[in-house]
Amino acid sequence: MTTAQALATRVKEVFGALIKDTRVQHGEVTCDVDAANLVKVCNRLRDEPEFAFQILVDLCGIDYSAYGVAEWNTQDATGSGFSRGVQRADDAAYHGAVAPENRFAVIYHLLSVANNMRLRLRAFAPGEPPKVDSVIGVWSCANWYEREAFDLYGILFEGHPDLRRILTDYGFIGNPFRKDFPLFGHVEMRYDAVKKRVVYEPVKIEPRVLVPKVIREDHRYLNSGENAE
Amino acid sequence: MAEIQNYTINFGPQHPAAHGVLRLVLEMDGEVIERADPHIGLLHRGTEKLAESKPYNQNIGYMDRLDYVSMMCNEHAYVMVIEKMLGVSVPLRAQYIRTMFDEITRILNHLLWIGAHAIDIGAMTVFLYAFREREDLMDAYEAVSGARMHAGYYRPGGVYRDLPDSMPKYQTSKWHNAKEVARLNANRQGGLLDFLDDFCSRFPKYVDEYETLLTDNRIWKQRTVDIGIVTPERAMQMGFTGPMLRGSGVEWDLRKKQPYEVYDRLEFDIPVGINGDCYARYLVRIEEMRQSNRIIKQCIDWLRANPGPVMLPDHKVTPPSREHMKGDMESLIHHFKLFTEGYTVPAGEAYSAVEHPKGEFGIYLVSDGANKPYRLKIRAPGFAHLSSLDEMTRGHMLADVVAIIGTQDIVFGEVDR
Amino acid sequence: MLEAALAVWDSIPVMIQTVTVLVIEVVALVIPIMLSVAYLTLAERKVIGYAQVRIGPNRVGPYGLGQPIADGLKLVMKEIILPTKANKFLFVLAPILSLGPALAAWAVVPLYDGIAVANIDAGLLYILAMTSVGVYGVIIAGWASNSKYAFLGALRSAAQIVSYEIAMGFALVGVLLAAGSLNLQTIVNAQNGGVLHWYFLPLLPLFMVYFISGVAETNRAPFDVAEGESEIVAGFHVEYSGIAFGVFFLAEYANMILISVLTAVLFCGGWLSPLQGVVPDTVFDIPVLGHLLGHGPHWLLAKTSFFLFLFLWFRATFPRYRYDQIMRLGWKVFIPITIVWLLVVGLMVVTGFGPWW
Repeated sequence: MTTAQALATRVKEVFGALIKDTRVQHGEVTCDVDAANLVKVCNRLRDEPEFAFQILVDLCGIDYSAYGVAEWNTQDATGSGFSRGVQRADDAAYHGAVAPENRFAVIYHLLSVANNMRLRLRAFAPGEPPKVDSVIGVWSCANWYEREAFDLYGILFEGHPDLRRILTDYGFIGNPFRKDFPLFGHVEMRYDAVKKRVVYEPVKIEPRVLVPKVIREDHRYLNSGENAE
Repeated sequence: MAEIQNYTINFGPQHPAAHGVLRLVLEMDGEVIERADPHIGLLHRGTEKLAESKPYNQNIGYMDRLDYVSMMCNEHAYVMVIEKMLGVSVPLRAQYIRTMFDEITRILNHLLWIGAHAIDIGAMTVFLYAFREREDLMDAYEAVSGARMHAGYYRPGGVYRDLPDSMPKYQTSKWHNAKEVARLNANRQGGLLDFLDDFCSRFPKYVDEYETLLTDNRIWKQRTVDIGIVTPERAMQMGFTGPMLRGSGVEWDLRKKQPYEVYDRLEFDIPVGINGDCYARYLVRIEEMRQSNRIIKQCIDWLRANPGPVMLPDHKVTPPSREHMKGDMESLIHHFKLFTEGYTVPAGEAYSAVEHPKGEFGIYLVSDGANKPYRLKIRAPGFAHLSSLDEMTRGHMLADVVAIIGTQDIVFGEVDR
Repeated sequence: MLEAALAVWDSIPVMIQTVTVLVIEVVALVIPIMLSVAYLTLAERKVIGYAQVRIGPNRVGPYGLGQPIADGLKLVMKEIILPTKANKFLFVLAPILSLGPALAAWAVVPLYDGIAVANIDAGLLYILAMTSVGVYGVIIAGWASNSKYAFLGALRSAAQIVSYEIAMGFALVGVLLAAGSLNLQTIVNAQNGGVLHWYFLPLLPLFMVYFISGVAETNRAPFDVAEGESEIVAGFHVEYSGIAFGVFFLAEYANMILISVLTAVLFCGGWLSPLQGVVPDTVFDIPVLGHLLGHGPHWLLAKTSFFLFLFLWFRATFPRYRYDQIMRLGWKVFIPITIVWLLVVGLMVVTGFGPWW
């Protein structure tokens, strides 16, 4: 049994119902946690010596709304042949593909210096706007990471003392990393010589797809080594 | 009685010590910092979002531009996570080359750091000394990839090509006569490995030069000792990694603890600080340069003795040679597929991290089985370090803020992403 | 012809005669000083360049000799930006106030026995007064700019100069005690008698304190916190551009030269030859060689250049002190040293210790 599996089993044993699901993939352990239990689990993961996850390596948001949506269907042909993957899968396709409570998640990467282990927690953020509890009380470096997830995904962190935007511009509107936010954004800015200030205008670039996103199981042909799962 | 107000000063983003585009709002009581509020994001390019719209290989170029002083280490984390998800392994020679260039990158990064740190504190000569050595290493980058900074050399499945047998040479010009050019080209007669070997033998002396100027300098010590002290507990709480964590006395280095590539076959030591102040971190980084030099030397010896492939021969992931492409139909198809659509990565998620010169640089990749990443999260060490600036500078003076920014080794390409 | 000219000269009222002579003297002094300031900038860039394994300016003219002139022209032609809400009058006054004293102090500097614009008895006091006035330029510049960085720079500079002025003053008191005169000519003459008679030996601590305080007074590295480009950008002159900045620049370099020449005069025997007492006195009677080896302004020049080189060397080598560390050095190290050594000097003078008294 690898260390990852051992850790997964231990986590399951110790936390029981507090953790919904535990997976091992590529030698990494991922646990799904309910947003309600998050802080409790985190505190115990940090403090119990057999885990001792003292470092929060990373915290990030994720938007699952376009998960598995391809821009170019290559599985079956239509009467006119394959579709041409030149149009970005429109926003409508993203909405509703995933249930709202499964759309946003926050992912925590933990590191134990004492035991040399890593663990990944995933907490779905239910509600509109999505909301989870802040883990600043557990790891103080979560401060900026949560601000970042708030900024980019609009996930609220309850108990965060200073939830401001961090990466985007002052006065920015929207959550740029959501899948329904176009890559080029909504506004563009330039200096207006007449008004003598920077002005914001609706973006003029046409959104387009350079390389369409395709989903096919090509990696099954890989001849080197085991295919992961 | 008049009301006494704190003095608020706007430090940056166009400040010589802001290391790029840091904007600090400092609340000061005289010269003493009461509160520091870093405003970041002025270099935010949305790399993670951009990566979601590009096939895997086209994103390698973005990785170089994250921490633009340690280019190849960024690439390394990215290609490692792809390899992990594809489940492919890399030829041993490519692993050695990667290790060697990771360490070259570490030296490059630390050289820039020591120069910038010293010039922030007012010692400007070290900066130019450091750039003299950086020049050689940049030439190594150029020899191997054609680019001095944004190499794009690591690929999933290996490295783009083998080490060159000849180095580019200086030409005579209006400014350099034949004699001077001969002197400049003296160590460029052999291949890249000979050039690097020569560099490795010279480098410890150069480090001594920096140390002469700084290590025992009373002013340098007054400016760094006991400045920005971080206890091991706080360092872990604040998510420190790399030299910042080791400076605080926590013995943690991914190269030793979770070895990747060939680090488990090499001999090197991990320096650890005691006090957790700027001086300790300075000493740690100086020693890391010497250790990196040691690693490079070992890699050179191995690479000289063991020729072999540097790229996985599996053309589902790596392109076939141009020679094959011209004559072989299957190779042509592979080539076309790879350079238009790219390869798909099995659905799932993975995180892989390297011991980047600044700390733990990790890539968290979520794939839905497509030819582009579904979600790419870049774990930049500088982000966590900078977030602690408020705590580290509180109660120090304005000049110490500059020293602390220097000791954190901040680069905005990675902080803002 | 000559007689006619003299006749015209004699017909002019005495007051105008004096003024004319003074003006000529001043011009004859200021122009070389300005030239040496210009070429000091070049020397600085060259010296620091070589310290940093690079060449330094070498494009304008042979060896870059045209560089200072090109720089000056550039500064003259650039726009002087007056910040909005700056106090215009003070803003313009400040650079003048900082250059003026730096040049005025030269009036009493003896270049050779009997050669000085004004050979006054209170020369040392005059020097102290003039070097202190220079700080007003800095403070006013920082205040008038209406910028927080400039303001911080001015505050730092004010505090720093106030502290170092004391150490410097005490160091000069040592010289005064030793020479028994405030007249700079007398001070140099009192050091006559070979290298061992120069004051840098008996007053070694005072000599060090004086020179280091001089570096601090001119706001040069490692004491350049008033400028501190990596902390407060350029300190008191952030908002200055064009020739207004250029004047500050001139003042800084003029001050450097002044401090160097004063160190040479007060502690290293001014124009006195270091060979005195080393080679037999008959050598000094050899026509050309004798003049070269004997006393003369060229020795003052050489000594000054050496101290100027030290300024540049410091800049290339040392990190910058923090503001409070400079204060500590000034108050807790330099002032006690000078006070103790003043007592020692007093004792030495009273007891007639050593070859000096």
